[in-house]
Amino acid sequence: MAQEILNNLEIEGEKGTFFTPSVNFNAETGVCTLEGESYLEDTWEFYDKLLSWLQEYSKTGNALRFDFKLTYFNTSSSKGILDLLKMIKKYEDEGGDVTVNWYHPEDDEDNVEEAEDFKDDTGLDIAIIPY
Amino acid sequence: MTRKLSLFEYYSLIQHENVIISYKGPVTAVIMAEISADIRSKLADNPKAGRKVFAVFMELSQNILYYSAEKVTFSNKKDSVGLLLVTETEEEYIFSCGNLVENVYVDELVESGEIINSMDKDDLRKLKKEQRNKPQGSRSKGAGIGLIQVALTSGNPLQMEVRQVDDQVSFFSLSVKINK
Repeated sequence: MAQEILNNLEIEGEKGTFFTPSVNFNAETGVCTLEGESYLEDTWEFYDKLLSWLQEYSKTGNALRFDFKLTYFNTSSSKGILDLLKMIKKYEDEGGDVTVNWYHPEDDEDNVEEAEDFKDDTGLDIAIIPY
Repeated sequence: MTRKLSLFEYYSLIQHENVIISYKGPVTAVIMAEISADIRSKLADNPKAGRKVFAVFMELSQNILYYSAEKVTFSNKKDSVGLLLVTETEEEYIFSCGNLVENVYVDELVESGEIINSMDKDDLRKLKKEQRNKPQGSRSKGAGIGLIQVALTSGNPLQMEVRQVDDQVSFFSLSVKINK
């Protein structure tokens, strides 16, 4: 049976009226990066796209590394991020090899607390790393 | 016809405080982008407080955009109307916003604010997690945790004021302090 090839998911970050984070999901290496600022016109549509990709990737059984480097996200986006993390956790529970890194500006305590809350909420072993 | 609105009176009213930004009118995504960019550049020398004022501004003006009961129509496009104010004292920045709210929602709104104000930081974080895990409410266009997040980000209570305008709507205002 021919397996459909999963393409990389790449979305260029944008700061205009809304802020789109840059997305770089690599189907070959399993390294996924979500970076920048997230405040979107249609939050659910954006995060649904990322979730669908992740769901497809989960079928490969390959290792996954997810790097978050978000400097600002509104509360609607935080629900989208939580959904992503829940899906990553599900993959881990099913036996997937999963690494999650959360990068934050060194002096941004609020950002650290967000990461701690995500960690607490999902049970994922998120590495919280200052830069 | 006499002009009822005195711009001087309006000016005098907001003159006594150190007003950084004052806006009353349609709150649209474009207006929000402009004002928020202005906040970021004006507060760039205090990045920590600047980030907080920016985040509080974004959440609360989105609330106006989504929920204000007052609408204005420009060329067939309906926009929400609200008031946005950023002032500065020696120790803090204060972000205030106000808009009309339908009377039926006022009690609910004030009650959520009072619950938030009665909680310490740990309880607020717990409540935020609980709410974020819930499916979206029927009236909610976001994650339903905006006010909780504003209280967490500012580290100060939400100051609310309600004035009933008529049997349909009330003016609801919210002020939040952000320490420098």
